[in-house]
Amino acid sequence: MAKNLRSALRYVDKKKYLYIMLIPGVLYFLIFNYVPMYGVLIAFKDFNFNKGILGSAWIGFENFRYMFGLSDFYTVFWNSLILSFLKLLFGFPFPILLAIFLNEMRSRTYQRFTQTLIYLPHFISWVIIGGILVNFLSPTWGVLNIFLGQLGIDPIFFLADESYFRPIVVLSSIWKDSGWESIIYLAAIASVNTELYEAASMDGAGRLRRIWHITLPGIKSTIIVLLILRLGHIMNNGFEQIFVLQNQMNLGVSEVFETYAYRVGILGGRFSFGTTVGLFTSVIGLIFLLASNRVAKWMKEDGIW
Amino acid sequence: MGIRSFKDKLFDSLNYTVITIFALVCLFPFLYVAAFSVTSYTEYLQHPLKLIPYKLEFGAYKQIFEMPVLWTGYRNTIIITVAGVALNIFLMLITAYPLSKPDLKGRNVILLMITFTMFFNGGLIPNFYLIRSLDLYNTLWSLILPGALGAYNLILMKSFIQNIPSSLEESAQIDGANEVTILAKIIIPLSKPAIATFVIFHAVTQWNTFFNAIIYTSKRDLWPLMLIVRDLVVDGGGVARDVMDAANSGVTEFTIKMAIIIFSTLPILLIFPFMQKYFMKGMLIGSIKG
Amino acid sequence: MGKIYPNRVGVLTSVVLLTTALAACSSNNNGEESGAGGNESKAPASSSSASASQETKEPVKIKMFNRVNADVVIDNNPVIEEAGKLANVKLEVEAPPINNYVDKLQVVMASGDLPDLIYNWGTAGNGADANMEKWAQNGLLEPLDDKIANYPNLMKNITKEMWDAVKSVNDGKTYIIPRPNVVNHWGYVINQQWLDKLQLKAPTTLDEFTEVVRAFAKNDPDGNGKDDTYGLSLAGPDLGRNTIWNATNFLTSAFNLPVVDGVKDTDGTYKIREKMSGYLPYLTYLRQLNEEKLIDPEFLINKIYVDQEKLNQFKVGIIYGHQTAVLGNISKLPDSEKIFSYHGVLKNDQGVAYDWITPAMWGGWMIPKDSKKVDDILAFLDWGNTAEANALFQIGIQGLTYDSYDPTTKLITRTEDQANKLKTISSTYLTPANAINGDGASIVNGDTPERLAVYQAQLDEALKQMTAVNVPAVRSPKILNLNSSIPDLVKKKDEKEIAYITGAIDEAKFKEFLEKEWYPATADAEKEYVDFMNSLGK
Repeated sequence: MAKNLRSALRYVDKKKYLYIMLIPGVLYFLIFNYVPMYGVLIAFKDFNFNKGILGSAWIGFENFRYMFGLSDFYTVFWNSLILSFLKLLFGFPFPILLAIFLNEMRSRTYQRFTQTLIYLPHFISWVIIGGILVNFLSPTWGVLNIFLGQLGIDPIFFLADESYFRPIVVLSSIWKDSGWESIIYLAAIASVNTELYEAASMDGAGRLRRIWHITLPGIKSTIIVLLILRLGHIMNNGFEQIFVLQNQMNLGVSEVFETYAYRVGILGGRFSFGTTVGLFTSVIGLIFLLASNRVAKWMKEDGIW
Repeated sequence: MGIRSFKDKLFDSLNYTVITIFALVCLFPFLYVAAFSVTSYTEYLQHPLKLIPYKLEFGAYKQIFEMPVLWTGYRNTIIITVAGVALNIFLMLITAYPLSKPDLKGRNVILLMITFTMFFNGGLIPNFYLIRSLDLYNTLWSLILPGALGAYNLILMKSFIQNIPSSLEESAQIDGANEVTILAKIIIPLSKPAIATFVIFHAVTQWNTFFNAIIYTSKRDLWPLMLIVRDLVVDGGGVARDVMDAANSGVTEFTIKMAIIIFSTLPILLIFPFMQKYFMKGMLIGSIKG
Repeated sequence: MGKIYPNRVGVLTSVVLLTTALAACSSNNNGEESGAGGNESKAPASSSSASASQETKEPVKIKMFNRVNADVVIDNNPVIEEAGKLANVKLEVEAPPINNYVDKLQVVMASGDLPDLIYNWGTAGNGADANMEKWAQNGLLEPLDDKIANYPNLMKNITKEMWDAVKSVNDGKTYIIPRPNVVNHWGYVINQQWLDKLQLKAPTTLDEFTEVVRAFAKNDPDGNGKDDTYGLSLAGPDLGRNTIWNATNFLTSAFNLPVVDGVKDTDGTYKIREKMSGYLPYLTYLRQLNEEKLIDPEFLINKIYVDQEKLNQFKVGIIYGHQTAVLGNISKLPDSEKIFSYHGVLKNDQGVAYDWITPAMWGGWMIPKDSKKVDDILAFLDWGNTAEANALFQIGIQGLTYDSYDPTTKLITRTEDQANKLKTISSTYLTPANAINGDGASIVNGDTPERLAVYQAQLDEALKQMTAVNVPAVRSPKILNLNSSIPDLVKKKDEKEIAYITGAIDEAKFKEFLEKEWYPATADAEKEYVDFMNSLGK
């Protein structure tokens, strides 16, 4: 026993700088994240404002039973999953491609110029972009339908038609956030050793081969980490985007957890419902993250740990 | 580089075209807001699609320059952005570096504990109590400290640092450097693109802070810019009622909202152009020799 | 070497544990303090009156927690100071942002440190919503029934219907004081220029209405040569309610269908809306309008204010609105009073146009339980319900925000600087009472005699044509909380209504849903509602 303790302490001493460096960060998480965490208990309690979280009565899984008992729960779960998955499928590769191709531009100035332009939509909130989109897609006055009319196509009421909702969400998501999301890939590409490129072109490798054999492998670990993190957020769709594009007519596919929690929780006066939904989606997200990290390690890649 | 082959030229022109189109499409919403912040509403009604107005109308900007709340908001936001970024980068670097070493004992436990915080959050009430107990209520610190270190970015930073070839560290250790020196002299210079990225990320996050201020402050003069903007622009808020002489200047609620958006967003847009030089590839490896 | 490090590790560990424990402990304490707000020992009225004279008692500090728009500067605010002087209190205002007000309110209510006067604004317009009930149940709010009778202005300005409307559904006590609001006479706003161009009159019956809507849609009233206008549009607040029920009194009145609960059906009994005689005819009418393309195709999905935008962009000709809507619209479109006009609801088939008036409230005020300042706070609110207070908060201070004000005509003269100043020191959000006897001190944008004349003329005309019906507040919880008890079925009913209107399902299928699913599920909510209404003895 004592021998283990002694060798452990010797180890800590050897790596003391590293452990000391960790102290502020760990302390930070303990104080600002772990101390308030008891709040998740609200999902298991009948919250009494006077008694506080710890003093309120325990009701166990009743909130969850209510939630699982709602027939719409499964539709909402499915909607959330599908939408998020589609955004992942189409939206995840796009910033990577953007970064790679931006990087291949010959003119540095033009590259920097376009880089700045493409991340602009990220800064305009969904409230505004949603308004623009709704206008754009309007069956009577929207630019898109007017354009289709020139081609002899009848106006399509996009936002009232459930089959268009998902594509609209995915495409607008890509438009708004790809430029922003490409920044991290640009950083990763910038860290790739240029000597590798030089060596490759001297060996006669063309553009595409260089991208395939040097750039992509060089940023592989970044891509994987981001993918794992993204899978951890598989249940999240972002309240604002869905809220502005959702309406009473496309509710069948557009209701996701965030908006559902709003409707039942806030509009229906059920306070802990939001926490219950949140807790549920968090657990699912964590499971996805752990699983994908395990898969990554199994494929001999660097995961999160 | 040699003579460009036809394939190369084709690739280039395709590249330029596609990216240019995408860039223009991305420019559009911003251009829309900017254009209508200087267009009189009557002209907007007549030509809702015209992005370049006949007559520039700056009345909306004049009005918002005279709103005292927007200026205090600006001051607060600038403070919490600068302080927040400095704190964030410092904490990120000293925490991510040790965690980037796969053989450090206890590392996995700490990483798991950090990952956990991405998913579980106590909610408004416990966080409110915490800030109160730490005596941070009604101070700008309540807008700087919570969120100063985030699991997501930390994990990414660690991943970047892990990519730095260990041979560089090893040779420095042989030369007798301890981890602090390694961090300062080797890791940080080689992580410039990553650091630049997280400077941008956190600066934008801090710039957009609004919800924390709602819960952690009670005095209006501590409100950050985006909180005020949201309350003025998002419906449920209200701005510029009783607009006198709207008929003359054509400045209506709509115009003012557009102007507020431009006014509050323009500065932070410049952060990326500022940081761009750190994204130039290959400037790094050459800087460290032996 | 070996001696120092164990200490370090040990110290480190204990520091971490201690910090965590301390922080958790203090959070515990905060949560477990009972919600007594009046802990501060300010000079209470009763103890100082012994030595001081009756008139000059020490002003009591009142902390007001209110929902105010962002333009208003709270520090060193002359209106707040003046209010303090007039009411003999030291008024302190804390005003979180209006868009997330309820979030902050929940945190404050849980914090154990409650302000003296707390504004509640929930999804029920009167403030007596599920939140208030919860706080009352948890013992945070002071019941006020015994005290309010002592305050003349509270009794005068707040009507019996209003008081009844806010009584708790759990124990019947009064935990919240309504903030009286301007009585809204819902009707419609119509493009008068289009009417003039097509030589039509503003409709008063359903047939006239249909004719006007058809003309607006088919006869190119904006003269641009394109077939791109519609007669009518609607808009809705947010999820959970179809736009066809949002302030659509002007149209439903033609079908004897009130959009609020609390009114008898044509056969003299109370029913839930979906059983009333006008329900299906109204939906069928909308279905026809939609089929003939006379109504904006997006009328079922427009978010709030979008209908107003379309009116202002001359895309539609009619939207819902109340008597101050036209002048209010001047902020969005200059010269609105010359383009649009306001009219009352349509007549039903008996020729009667019912103006269903619900108690006009805009949130309400709560006082923490066992507050030592209850009487002072009530006295302050009592003052708040006077014309003097209302004018102060709505139009400001003479010389500073206006030059002259005539209470009878509501005419105000002010310069542009004064108007801008007013925006930074006050607004209707700040008022303790937003209306006296159903009327505010001023009307938004009503700053020239011509505009006020237009407003008054249209209001008089509408009131003349309509028959007012005071609708009591329905304090029957089941029917108000369907969104919480059967959210999925509520959503399904909304979907079915839309499907029927758009023609996706036919009448038989719609009726089948109602009879097989909706009526059974809402049966006991309906029974409770009917019993409640009958108990009111109306």
